[in-house]
Amino acid sequence: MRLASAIRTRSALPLLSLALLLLLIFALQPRAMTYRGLGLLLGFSAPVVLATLAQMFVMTVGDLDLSIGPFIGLVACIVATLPAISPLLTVAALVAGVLAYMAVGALISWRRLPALFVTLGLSFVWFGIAIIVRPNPGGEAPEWVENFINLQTPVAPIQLWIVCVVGLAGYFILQHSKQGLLLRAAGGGAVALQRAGWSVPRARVLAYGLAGVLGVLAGLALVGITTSADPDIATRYTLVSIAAVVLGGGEFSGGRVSVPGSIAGAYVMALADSLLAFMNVPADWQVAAQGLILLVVLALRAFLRSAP
Amino acid sequence: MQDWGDLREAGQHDGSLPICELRALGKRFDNVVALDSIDITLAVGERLGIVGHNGAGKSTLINVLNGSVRPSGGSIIWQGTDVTDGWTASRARREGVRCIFQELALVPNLTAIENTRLVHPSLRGFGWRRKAAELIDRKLSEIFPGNHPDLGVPIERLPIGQRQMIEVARAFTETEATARLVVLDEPTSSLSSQASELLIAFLQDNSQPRPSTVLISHKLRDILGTSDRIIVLKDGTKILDEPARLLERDRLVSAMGATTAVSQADTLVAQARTATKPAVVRDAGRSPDEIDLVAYPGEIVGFGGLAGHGQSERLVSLFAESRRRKSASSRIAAAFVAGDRQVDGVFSAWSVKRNLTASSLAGLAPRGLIRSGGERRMAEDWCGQLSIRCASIDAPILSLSGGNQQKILFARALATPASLLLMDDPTRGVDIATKQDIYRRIRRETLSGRTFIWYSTEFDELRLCDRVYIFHEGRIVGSFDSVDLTEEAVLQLAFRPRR
Repeated sequence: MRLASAIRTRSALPLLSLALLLLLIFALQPRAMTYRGLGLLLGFSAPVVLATLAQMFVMTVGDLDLSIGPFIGLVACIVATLPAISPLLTVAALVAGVLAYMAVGALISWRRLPALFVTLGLSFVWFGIAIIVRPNPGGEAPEWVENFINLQTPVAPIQLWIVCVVGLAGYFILQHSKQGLLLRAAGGGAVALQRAGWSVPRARVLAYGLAGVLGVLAGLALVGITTSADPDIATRYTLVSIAAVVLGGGEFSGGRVSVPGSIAGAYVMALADSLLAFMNVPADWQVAAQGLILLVVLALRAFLRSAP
Repeated sequence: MQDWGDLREAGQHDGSLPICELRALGKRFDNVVALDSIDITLAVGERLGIVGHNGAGKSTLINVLNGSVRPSGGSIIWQGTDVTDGWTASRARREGVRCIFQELALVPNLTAIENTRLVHPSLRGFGWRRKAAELIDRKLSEIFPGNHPDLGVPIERLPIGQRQMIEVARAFTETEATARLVVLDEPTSSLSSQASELLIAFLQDNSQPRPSTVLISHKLRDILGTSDRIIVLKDGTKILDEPARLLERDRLVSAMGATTAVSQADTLVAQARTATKPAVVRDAGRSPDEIDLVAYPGEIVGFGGLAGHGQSERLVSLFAESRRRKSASSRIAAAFVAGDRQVDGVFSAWSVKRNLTASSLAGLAPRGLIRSGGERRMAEDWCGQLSIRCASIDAPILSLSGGNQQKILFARALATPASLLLMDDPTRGVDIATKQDIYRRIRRETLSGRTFIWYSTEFDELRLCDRVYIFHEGRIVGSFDSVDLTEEAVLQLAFRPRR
């Protein structure tokens, strides 16, 4: 009975899926278990995980962010281009990005706009600005970013450490801080939150602000890894991040998300590629197969929920 | 005079300033008067009971008290200061007004502990979880000893009875945020009988200083047993305000009276009905011990019981079932009249005409294209028949008053050839005149053999039915023929405890 209820917690299924995925990968390719192997395996995972956490905070207040991918792309373009002109300008641009995110949250809340449409529109705005900043692919990552992402950390590769630190911080904020409580309450019961005397718009501004910060971090990590940028570099992250949060036990209805689950979900999305490659699935089939994995896990979740 | 009497009564209780005073308080919604110049004074620590039928103005009164509805007239005096203008929900909360609604006040995805934290900003820093847990746990065992709901799982995973216990206990918890006035709106409606008894005992016990309370309940016994003073509301006015010790049950009942001028002679008994005709609806119920639902042609069948106990859901499932049968017999078997206009009734962007004909499009568009002449004729015909007041049938639906919008929805269903009409509390928030129009029309339609299944939250409307089924927690727990129907009996069944 305990096992059944444990399986039904929000993050159990994504964690189990991830464990299964890792087991398969390690079975097929034992060298993936080494430090170097892990480093290669986790190649692009940090930006995906950070994008997923950004999406998760927006989903916590019951919204969806369709602009996170292009926003990360914009950050990448800024970081790969502006430091050569002026480091101060770079920092100002990134801060402005976060502030813009908070303003969007405020706008959505106070004008009661549908987040879906606002962020859909914004995705084009971010993309457009990114094209102005970086008309053609290229640029150069600032040295410190590149050095940081290539740091040889003890025990596990740096990408894992980044995820651990940011994930723990996110978990603490969401589950243990007052602000996190307000975020979850805003998503799950805005009316009740208001009746308890709190401001729902403020919670939404905070959620979008956190998403903006995480988006900036994701962009930094991405540039560090690729050492260059183009406006389209992270467009895919929008849908991947939504899929990862949902895979991680999150729900569209707001307030029902899980940090460990979302991170596991992001890894499942990121590692499915590798697994399929190890299984010699032709590259042409990999994207479709990745979608199938997502559907299978979600179907399993629906089944577990409805089971008595 | 009334004020003086109130003040004296309040003075006897405590001798200090009253905690809250409402003076000549009024509230209108469009053309419906919900509260009409009400005066209420509540002393510190006083326990006030409010009774009245549905629509008497009780919920509006609570919503004014907790700041979520602004009064249209009169003033609110809080501890001697006029606060009418700044009385918002957050101000009311800060001043210590707590409200127990039916499970609206808890955030469903948070735990009991986290929900407690939400109303106590002073539980901060490390260890707030433990402090909040102690706080709510202590109150729970004070009010509901022996009951231990799980405080660490999201509220939505708890049974409704436990949620209600947590909500009640939370309203009485105090930190720096004190509870000065606790409003309990039908707090026992979702509690088990054992928990209800415990709550009543808690409210009865006045050995310790307590916040002032306002108790609203259909159970007159509870009101009489726990109140210092009782107010009876009727059609938005206060018609009785006396110390509870001077009151008895019979006087309360007669004071509440019948809300609308529906005389017994109006009660419909479908003469045309004969048992030889086959039933239009025969629903065996969801569990073996449930009573069968049966409706014969020309009958009006009522759904009663407390609001939200599965009546609407049953109507929807009956509707869905008739749609399935329709595909077999290829004619529309049932039509639905929505009660919650804004949510599932009107197409708000459409005209009066489009709204009215929405259910009849199959007949109006024989070859897939709508015949605009037929559409127009149908709309004009029904607007005339139900005397719907609108500038033109092309006017936007939202330009109509609420009552006339409801008539449109009613006409939409009547205009179909359906023989069974399912009505989901269709007269909610509708003025008396419109109601009477609708009642008359229903009566006429039954003569031509149409059957009505009518969920109503108003007792007087149930008396118009041939037979009434009472719902409790999604099941039919009893049925009455119209002659046997008494409010008392209905309430007894509706509050039937179930564990």
